[in-house]
Amino acid sequence: MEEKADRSFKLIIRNFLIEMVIYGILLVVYFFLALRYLSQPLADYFNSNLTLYAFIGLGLIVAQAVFLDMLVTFLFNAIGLDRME
Amino acid sequence: MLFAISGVTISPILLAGIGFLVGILGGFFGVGGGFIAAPFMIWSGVPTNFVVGTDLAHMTGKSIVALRHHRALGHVDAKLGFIMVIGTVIGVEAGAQVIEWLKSQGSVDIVIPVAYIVILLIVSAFTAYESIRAIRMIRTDSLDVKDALGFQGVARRVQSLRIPPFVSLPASGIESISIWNLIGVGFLTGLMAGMLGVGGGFIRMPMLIYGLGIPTHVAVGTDLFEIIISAGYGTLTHAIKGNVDILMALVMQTGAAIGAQIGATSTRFFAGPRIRLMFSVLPLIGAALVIANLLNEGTIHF
Repeated sequence: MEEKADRSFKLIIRNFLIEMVIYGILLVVYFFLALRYLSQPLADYFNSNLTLYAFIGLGLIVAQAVFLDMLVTFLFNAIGLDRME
Repeated sequence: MLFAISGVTISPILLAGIGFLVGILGGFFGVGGGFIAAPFMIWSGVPTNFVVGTDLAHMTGKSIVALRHHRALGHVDAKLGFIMVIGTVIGVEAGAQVIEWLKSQGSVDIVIPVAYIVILLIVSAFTAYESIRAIRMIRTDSLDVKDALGFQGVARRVQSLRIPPFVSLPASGIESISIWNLIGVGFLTGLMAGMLGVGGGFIRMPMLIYGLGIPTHVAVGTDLFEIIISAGYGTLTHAIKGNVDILMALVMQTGAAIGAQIGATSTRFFAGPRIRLMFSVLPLIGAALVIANLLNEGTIHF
């Protein structure tokens, strides 16, 4: 019984670490893309229309969170790993 | 790297690191972590007027990631969150009115920080006392580790108030509770958040557990739900006033997203009382930072 729980714990940790590596790679790629392509357009909106800038900004924050999480879920399903849940 | 919106040059790695640290706290304790992030952001050179708004923006995204994980673990009571939001919004507005009144009296600079420190110390001391008592109860009475609560008096009294309409909260294991209790708790946390200018997670979490009797894991998840709504609203209002650097928030969120996952996942390995005991340290850090700030400004001196 204890051995089974130990194996389950190790499996959870292993999947968690793989998830973190995938997530980390995606974030680094996104990180550089965002810095490269979003910087100037966002600054232009900030200087021209603050209300539009506010809604675009909130949209980007929500989209980034949901998209990255969904992408990781998709990748995990594709390679046949269960997520931490 | 130059952030064109706020006009400052800061290392994006440093910002992602701050996000990572705050993300772990948010995922594990269900708090926004603004009281930790703000001093770090100021220290790293973010202009003061951009600190609060940018912090709220990254907090929104980080909480979405943590909430998705907590939801998958069954730790979110969406019905409770939606009902509490009504009270929270009214409370935040009432808190803002109190601030305006204090300003007119010329005492806002001393009353608010002192109230903040007192509330933080009470929350910390009470949470530590209760969680240690709960851990002892588990050892001596062989109680279920998830349900053990060292202080249930207030929650029992609140649940016994019979003012219609009533609502059931199956996700929190509550059969029937007056809707006014939920709105009332939302109002109180909103009032404090509005008065103190913080997200209020470190107040809301204990209120959910001790005031309403919500299990710790569900309180953490539901608190994140509330943070998304309040921080999202705060992001919009601050951005319209020109106080949010979205690019900076996106960079911080990259680190926070990983931290939030680690934090949310780690809750699986700790029982409720242990999480509450660790949580009790957070308000102390917040209080220490406010005292340090008051000393620096010369508002108080020994």
